[in-house]
Amino acid sequence: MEEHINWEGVIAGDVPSHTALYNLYFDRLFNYGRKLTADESLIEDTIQETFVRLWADRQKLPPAAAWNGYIFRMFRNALFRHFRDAERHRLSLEELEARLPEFNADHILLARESDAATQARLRKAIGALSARQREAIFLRFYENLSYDEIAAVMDISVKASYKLMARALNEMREAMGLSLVALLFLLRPC
Amino acid sequence: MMHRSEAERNPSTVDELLADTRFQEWVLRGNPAPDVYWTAWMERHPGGKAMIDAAREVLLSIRFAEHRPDPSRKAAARESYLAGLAAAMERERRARVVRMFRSAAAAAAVLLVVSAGWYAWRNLRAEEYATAYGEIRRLTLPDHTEVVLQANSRLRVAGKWRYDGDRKVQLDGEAWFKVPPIAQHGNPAPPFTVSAGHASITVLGTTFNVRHRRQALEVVLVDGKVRVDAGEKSRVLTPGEKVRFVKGQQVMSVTQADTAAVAARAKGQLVLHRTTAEEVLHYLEDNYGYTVRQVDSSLLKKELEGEFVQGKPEDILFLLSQLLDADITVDGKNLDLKKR
Repeated sequence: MEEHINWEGVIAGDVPSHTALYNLYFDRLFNYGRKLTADESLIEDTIQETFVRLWADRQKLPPAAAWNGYIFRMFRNALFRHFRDAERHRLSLEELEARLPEFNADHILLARESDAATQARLRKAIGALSARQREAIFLRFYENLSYDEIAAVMDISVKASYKLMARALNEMREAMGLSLVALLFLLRPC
Repeated sequence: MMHRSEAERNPSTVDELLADTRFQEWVLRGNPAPDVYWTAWMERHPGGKAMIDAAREVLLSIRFAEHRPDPSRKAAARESYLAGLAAAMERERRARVVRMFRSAAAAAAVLLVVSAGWYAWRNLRAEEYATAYGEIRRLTLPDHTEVVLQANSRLRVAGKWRYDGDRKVQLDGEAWFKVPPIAQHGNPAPPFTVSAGHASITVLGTTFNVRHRRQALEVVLVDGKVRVDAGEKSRVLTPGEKVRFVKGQQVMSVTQADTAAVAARAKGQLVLHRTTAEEVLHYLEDNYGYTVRQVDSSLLKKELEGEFVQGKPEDILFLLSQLLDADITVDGKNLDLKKR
């Protein structure tokens, strides 16, 4: 997807290259932002701010290979900052921290037609994951970000991003009742 | 896209498979490790096939809700982005001029004085247009924007305009604008901005009326699209909408406007439709410089229908006295209204 972007053009301040980058990311960032908050105006403002800043900072951009994570990171940071600015007058500090944008469990769907009991267990497991775990799973499997990129976006170490993901997947595996012994027994005939 | 890190080792359990990016890529996207790699892996690990099936089952169970932006909001967001980009470009251009300025200073102080004087003369010379009470003026700005400046109003056009820079005007009073779009091979058109009081209206080719009187700003959009920013509030108008913002109140109210009445304003007419006598008197004060000294309060709330052609205020006063069934006494610039 990124191949269509003229990276040199972006750095040189070529407007069509910048608008192409904006067009490429708008839907993706909107979809991501919408998982963190339902406030669509806030998301739209934040995307705008992200790309105007990208223009202003175009000579300080990291190497092109790291841009994907960089853009997601800029957007996420700005979204949290905007949220704090917008709500500061209305909410106490505790309320503010408690209401920060976070990844809602409803946004993870169950794809496989498994039996009702497994479905229910899986839904419960997804609910029990932390918002950060859900967000990491989204970035990895929906947005196809690497562990390095996820670490940059969520402002954690690469090791922590790996752990966050491994624990989340482990919990989902357990909820699906796919214990190794049971599986070995079930699958032996094949 | 593939990125090896210390976190990726040689997987040997279901959980390690799950977290392995090569395994994830293989299951979800069919790459980059070929099937032979995982076939060999299965043979190396006891129960390998069951482990891979279990891990695959988990990965394939993960799916996400998709949120798509509403197309019209997406288009409005894109316009805001382009306007923001144009503003950022203009800031850079100004900063460049300042930098050039400084190097000129280092090179030759004399030259600086000369060029500063020249620069200031060319750029800072703001044009100001003003109308007297009862006067209407038609203007064409350098970008071919048509303006009808209503009575007792002032329009300041900042500096020298360039086609790649912001077009900025400042309004005190009331004016009707018709801004032509400037297409530039898909590049963002430089925004046209009207500031009035503490609010600003940003335009990309459109017709609208701005009224800033008595601390209240009213913008009616006839066609095209504008954005009104006041304090922390911001609203994109669609044709036929009227936004009203009163200084000190953090509310922007949006209502449907009578665009025919607004179009008539450009011809100097004042169309009354369920307009209160009080509003008409405000108009006489704002546009003709009268002061209403005495008035029966029962008259103020009366609603009027009709049409005033901008002309002699005496004619308007005569019509008003007929419509209100009231005697209007004129004493210099003071008005007294009495019910008949």
